[in-house]
Amino acid sequence: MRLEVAREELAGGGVVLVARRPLRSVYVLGSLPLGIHVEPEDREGLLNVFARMLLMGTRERSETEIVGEIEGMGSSASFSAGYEGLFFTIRSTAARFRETVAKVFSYAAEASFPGEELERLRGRILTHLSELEQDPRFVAGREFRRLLFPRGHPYSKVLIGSREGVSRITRDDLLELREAVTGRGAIAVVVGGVEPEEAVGVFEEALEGLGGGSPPKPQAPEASRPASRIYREVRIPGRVQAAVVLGSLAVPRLHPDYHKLLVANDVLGSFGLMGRLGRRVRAEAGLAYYVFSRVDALRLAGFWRVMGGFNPAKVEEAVSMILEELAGIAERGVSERELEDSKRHLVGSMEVMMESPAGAAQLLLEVELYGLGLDYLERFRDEVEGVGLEDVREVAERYLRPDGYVEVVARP
Amino acid sequence: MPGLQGLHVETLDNGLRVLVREDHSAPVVTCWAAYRVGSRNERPGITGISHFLEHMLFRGVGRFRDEVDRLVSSRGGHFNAFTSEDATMYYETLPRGSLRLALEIEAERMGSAFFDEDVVERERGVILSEREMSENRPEYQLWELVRATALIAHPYRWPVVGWRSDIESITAEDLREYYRTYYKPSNAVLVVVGDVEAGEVLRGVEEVFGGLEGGARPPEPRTREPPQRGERRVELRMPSNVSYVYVAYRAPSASSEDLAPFLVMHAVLAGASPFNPLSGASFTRSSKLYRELVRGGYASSASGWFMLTIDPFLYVLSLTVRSGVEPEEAEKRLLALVEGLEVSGDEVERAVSQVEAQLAYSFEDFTGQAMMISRFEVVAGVERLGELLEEVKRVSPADVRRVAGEYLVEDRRTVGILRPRGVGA
Repeated sequence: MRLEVAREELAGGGVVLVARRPLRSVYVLGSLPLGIHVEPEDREGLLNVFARMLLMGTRERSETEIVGEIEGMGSSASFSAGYEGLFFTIRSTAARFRETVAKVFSYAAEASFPGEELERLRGRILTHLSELEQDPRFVAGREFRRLLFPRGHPYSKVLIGSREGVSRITRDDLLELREAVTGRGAIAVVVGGVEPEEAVGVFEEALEGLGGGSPPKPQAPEASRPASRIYREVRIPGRVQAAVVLGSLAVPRLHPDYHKLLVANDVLGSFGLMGRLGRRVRAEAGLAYYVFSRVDALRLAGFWRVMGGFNPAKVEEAVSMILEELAGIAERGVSERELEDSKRHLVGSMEVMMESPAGAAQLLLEVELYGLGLDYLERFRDEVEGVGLEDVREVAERYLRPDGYVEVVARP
Repeated sequence: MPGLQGLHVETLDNGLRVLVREDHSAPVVTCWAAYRVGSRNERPGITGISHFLEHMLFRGVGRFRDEVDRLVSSRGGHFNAFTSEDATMYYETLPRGSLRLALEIEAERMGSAFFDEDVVERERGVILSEREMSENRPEYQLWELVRATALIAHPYRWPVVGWRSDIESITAEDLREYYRTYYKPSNAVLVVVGDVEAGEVLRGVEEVFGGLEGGARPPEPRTREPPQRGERRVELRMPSNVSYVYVAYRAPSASSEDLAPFLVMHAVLAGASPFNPLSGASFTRSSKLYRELVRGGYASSASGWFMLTIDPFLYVLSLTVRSGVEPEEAEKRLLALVEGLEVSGDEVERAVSQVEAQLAYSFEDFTGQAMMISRFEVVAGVERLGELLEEVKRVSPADVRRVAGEYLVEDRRTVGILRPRGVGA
């Protein structure tokens, strides 16, 4: 893999990774160690509100002044809630990089969480939740999480939060969470037209201002694979298409089965035009525009899911095809050609992902977030190429077999 | 303009226009084939046929029948296709050594399509499902209604995906005829961007495409949209948890002299939009629209957009009305802002910075760059992209006021409101 990356551990405990590119712009992606696990049980949506309010006002400056300064330079910045961290994305021209990062982190460090801004934001989020609650894809995805993970598990939540949780958030909750913010454990990935030394210096200063809080360590009640099918149907009047989410628990990111499962999933619902699922349900039966599978492997747990959109009258037919494909891969594994194709796909697509600064930054953030080491870009090839036919059959049998799973159908 | 330096442009004897740009920042190449055909070229009865044809050709063509996805993916590549009002585009992005495969796939697509009845039927189901996915969003249904109200004659009035009854009745023979008319080298543009050597690419393109017969350029659509003289309004009542307001104004085309001031006006009002949809920044929060409508408490989100099109289309401002606010209140505030637009020198300066930055961001990734180059070439000629930055830098507050006064007026606007109605109400 041809990607030259400079990695620097900062005295304050953060890490900066820099990939220089001959561009007139710079892309920054990073995280602070403040994942969704920090939300109290009755404050679902707190991290999202906190993240968005970091650039919504200090004692001296209003949101309008802050975004006016940043966007007026042709730069943009946002903080967002994530399952593994509080993420930030910054765009700027190379000429405005230093100034942009300095301003963004200085305003975030001084965020005062004005009460009137909280009320404005709350109103917007509640309206957005109303919109999402009429979207079968969102509703099916949210119910899937709630059924797959036990109550209190951070992955049982959706990042935007619940109507009840968002309604309860107070300014004091935000101020309390502010105390946990720290530059220790922060990661900044910088890709574009900037020298590594300059990028490291800029972030050394920027992260220093965040303070030295002690965020709680991620923890969660144990989640277990359902013993049988758990089915939930949600009715959303007036919609035209049903959404289905079907899946089960799998493995966390650092589990030894991860790469084997990645290959099995690629054959099932990703390779080419959505793998075996796409071939069967879309190309051969004409039942769907989208039907695919994906693996989410996070720090505390992992899961896989199939997602599809179907005409309400065709849901049962499509789901039975999906279950047949799951049973088929769990019982018989995959062919030699499928295995080789998927391995080449996974290895090659990592290289192709590097074409964009956003793709390269995403990959580097994942490497640092899970402590994979910069040699992971090479090791990934070895890991994937080492997967054999029996490995795929075994993991498919272990994780994908359609006996213990959650199925949610959101339909009109 | 910096990004377009080193763009090699050639036209083969058969009329195929070829644009190649070397970029050695990653070991990747992207290949785009764009056809000058979209919903603009359709007529009632076959609306959506450009998009239907894209689906048929996306499955695989000629000697790559049902194989394109495997061949591209097994090299680590990705691929996709899009249909718009003016163009149909296909692409493959691959490791740099695989360009030849992409060229051969696109040459087969240009000359060796098939239209088996059973495949047409299956793809019809997929397209109807795609349409239903959009229909799930109430605001999509409002947008369909607004465009069909704002325009009365031009084909831009119907959705690119087509009306359901047309999708249900388009035949294999319709598709064959449409393909014969529009898929030929003289009606196509090929764009290659990536870690390649331009001379070598051009020789490869000549080898692979040079033998295809050029054919005559298809006829241009005849219908022109008559001027709008007075506000139009439309209301949609359907099950929805929230209200939406869409206001659409007649906008200039991509080749209009008003494009640069219009872009700056849009940046002041709604934040500059990305030229490359894969590599842009969001500038909405510093816009007047956000300040007045979202911060003002009328809307939970507000956006403005317009597309670069061959013929004049629409400039659209849309609001998701905040719970507890009547859509008329939000509309009134929006119209007061837009039709009394005040612009300062500072605002224009910041807007120009945003447009400049979007242009810089648009050259970050190969796939998006090639998409942008293809699109400009089809709608106004790629030279337009090159000129645009200089034109934008020359825009003054007076220019912005002029275009605002000309375009954002009552006589050119169409207002659409979606009002929630419960099931059985």
